[in-house]
Amino acid sequence: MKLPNGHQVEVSISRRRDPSPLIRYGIPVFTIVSSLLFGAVAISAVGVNPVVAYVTMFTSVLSWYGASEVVVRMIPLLLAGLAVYVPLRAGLWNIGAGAGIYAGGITATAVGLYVSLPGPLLNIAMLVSAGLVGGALMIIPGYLRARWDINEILVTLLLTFTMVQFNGYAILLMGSSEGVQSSETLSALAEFPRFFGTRIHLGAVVAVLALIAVYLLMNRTRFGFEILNFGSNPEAARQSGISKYKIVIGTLFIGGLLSGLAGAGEIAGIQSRLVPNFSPGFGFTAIAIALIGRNGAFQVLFASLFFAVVYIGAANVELVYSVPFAIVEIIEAVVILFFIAGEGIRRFELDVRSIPQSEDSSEVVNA
Amino acid sequence: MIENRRNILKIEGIVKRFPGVVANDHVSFSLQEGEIHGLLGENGAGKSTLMKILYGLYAADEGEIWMKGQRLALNSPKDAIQAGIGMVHQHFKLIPRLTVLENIMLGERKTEEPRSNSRLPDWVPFSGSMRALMTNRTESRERVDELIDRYGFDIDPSEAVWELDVGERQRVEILKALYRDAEVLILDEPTAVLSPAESRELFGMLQKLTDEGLTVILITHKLEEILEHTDRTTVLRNGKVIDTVQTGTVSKAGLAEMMVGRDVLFETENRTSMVFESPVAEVQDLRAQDERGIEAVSGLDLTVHEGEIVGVAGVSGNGQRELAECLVGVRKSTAGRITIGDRDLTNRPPRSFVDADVSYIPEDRHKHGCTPDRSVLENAILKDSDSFGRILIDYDKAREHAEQIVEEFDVRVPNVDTQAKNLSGGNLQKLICGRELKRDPNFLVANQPTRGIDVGAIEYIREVLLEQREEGTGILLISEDLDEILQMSDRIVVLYEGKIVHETDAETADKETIGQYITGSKNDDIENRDSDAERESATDRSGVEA
Repeated sequence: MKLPNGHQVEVSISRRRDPSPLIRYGIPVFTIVSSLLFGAVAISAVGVNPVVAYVTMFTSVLSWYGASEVVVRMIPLLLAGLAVYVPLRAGLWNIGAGAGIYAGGITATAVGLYVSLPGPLLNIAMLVSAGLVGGALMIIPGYLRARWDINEILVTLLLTFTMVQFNGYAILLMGSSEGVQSSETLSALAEFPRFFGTRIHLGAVVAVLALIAVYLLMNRTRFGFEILNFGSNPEAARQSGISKYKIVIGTLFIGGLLSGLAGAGEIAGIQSRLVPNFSPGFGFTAIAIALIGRNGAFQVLFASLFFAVVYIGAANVELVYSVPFAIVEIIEAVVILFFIAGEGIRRFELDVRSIPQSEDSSEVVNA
Repeated sequence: MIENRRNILKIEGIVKRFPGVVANDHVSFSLQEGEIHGLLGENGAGKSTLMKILYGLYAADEGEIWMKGQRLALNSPKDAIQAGIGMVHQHFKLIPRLTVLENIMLGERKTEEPRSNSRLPDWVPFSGSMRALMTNRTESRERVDELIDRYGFDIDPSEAVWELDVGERQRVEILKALYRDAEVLILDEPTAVLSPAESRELFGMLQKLTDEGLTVILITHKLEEILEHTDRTTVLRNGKVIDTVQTGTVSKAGLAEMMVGRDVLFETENRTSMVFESPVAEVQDLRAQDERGIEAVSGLDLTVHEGEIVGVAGVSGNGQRELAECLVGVRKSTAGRITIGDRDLTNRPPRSFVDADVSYIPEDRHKHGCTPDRSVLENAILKDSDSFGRILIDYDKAREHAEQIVEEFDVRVPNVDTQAKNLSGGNLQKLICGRELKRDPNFLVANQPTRGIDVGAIEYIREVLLEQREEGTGILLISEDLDEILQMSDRIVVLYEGKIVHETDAETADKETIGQYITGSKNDDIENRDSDAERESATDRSGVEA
């Protein structure tokens, strides 16, 4: 490229060998801050002072009630985030945490309604079956990917839509009466117990256990070791005797299982009956969560905390200032975009230099 | 044949240094208008670097390039194209979704005066390409049609590139260069992707083009191509020009010698003629295909015994990689049997081979040998993670093991938590060797274990392999470096076009003879010799008789 003053602009992009700590830790921060800034633009567009809106957003969750609601929202987000995180470490994109959530919700409802077991056993049976069905569902994209290299992004994404529809059908099957858009209500026995007089339910315990399990899986177990190395270089992993089937199907199964638990929690802990669209985009928010937190299970926890705060805070802002709740979706989308941009910065460095050049460049000797 | 041809391009004293190596060491030669000039050399001889300099992709540290009496400043391929230099890369740079015509127009030179419908300023990114696409198509179409007619290209410009086969795509690349008024055309290993019939077609076309005045640089390591299709040849070795010769004045054997070097044979330590008894790996009538589905290993028999190094000599691309991958279970064979120890492991998964104590040093250590984002520790136990616990990994024990490898195999790293991608080539290779040898394998497949690493590491790895042999490991050493093969092996086989064409004891091995087998000018494979008239005539021409 040539500038009017005869200078030659040289742009070179090269691979960054060793990203500095500033870049490594700065990128998640940069991602979050800039997505909030973008959200501010949208908030101003509806005529509300973004500073006021954000202050409301983040202070409204400081109350006892607000904080408990954040935890309630964190339950599905953390589980779904981990459901994306585990396959992501193996280099696989599980876009279908939503599918697992619906599968888990449907299963938990069915077990809760039609199986009779004493006390806590029923809750455990609901969780286990929801997890297994969610996991089983994800064997489909896993096998397709391992056997024929069919893109897991597409299959998991499409499964989400399939499960949304199937959820509607399941509601009909388990419906109480004509014209009611929900299944029969779960018995008090089937509902998850709640704690501290808030809506925080058994799912919170499950989510914490899942978090610890995923952390141990990745950092202590041989399967985790294989997942991480497969994710770094599938070819080298395969040559070392690590089975592609085991990793691909295994991680997606775990993803399905975790999202299945999230679904069970939403139904048995919150809704008490199967309803349409009980997962308002949790599966997609989970992608943003896993991206921000992809360096470790506990980072996933913090990312899900951030999004839970945004969710609950935005609901309050909507209530007070009638800023549409869609603001959450904007922030979510911008997080993903900025994250991808940040990834580019982390992996490549850009070098722009301006070099003075004489008029007749063809005569210039370039040694 | 070549009289009074004027020099069109002159390369003078080009030097290009990379950290640790001099890729081009005062390289000079000139091109005569209308000739096909071969550039011959082994992998790593500096051919590609030189051509990248000529095409403006690298800047030379020293030296000058003159074209038709004018000194060129080549800062980018754009400058090279402007100067009339075209290049057909080994991997084509075409956009599959676009048509032939569109692909050609994309590379169009900037038109001098902006057209009425395309007033894009120069600073707009891709302005040249955008302007090119906005220009009147019919005009371009006419020019392309004319070129196709003139040289008999047999291509439909309106066809999408993804519909074309490899040979046709290559012709599109050539056409693209011609459309940009290339006077010098660089072809980088053009036949590597072609079938023999397609290759013949290509050379027929090149003949036609040079008759019209085009000058061609043919980069290759295939001696037949040099002998049959070039006018003159420049031989590069270790970054230096060995000589530029008139084709026909030097025999095939002579060229091979120039290419590989006359170095005195390394004296193998005298191993009292050993008798190898128990085979660790046996291959029977093995056949396998490469990624494109073309047969790369064509009926191969091979046995490696305990405590023996079998060297596989040959120019890469003759089935080495496929053979190695079959032997460790990474690639499925299409026919034949692989027995490791006393177990038939034909087409078993890699895990079975690992469990049968087979180790593998892959050719591409970055792509196949390590997990770059993971630590040295993890890479060190990649193959034996199960011996550190079936379910939970004992990371303390693993760290000890990794530190042992690092120390024993002289891997220079600050600590074992360093990411593998931060290791230099030599250190990474030592780490891989350590991982593969520390498990004391029965059978080791080492594919190009010393390629592209520093001299110190080369020596070290060779020593380690020899030591491992003493431990009783049977080693299959695949290498393009004939000296290495001769220095290390107890037995040598020559791989050519997926078959073993020669087998000899290291004691009686002679470099010159092996050199001839490597390039296919000699062949012990009976079926092949009877049917292949072409090869006989090639032997005649080179003046060497078996």
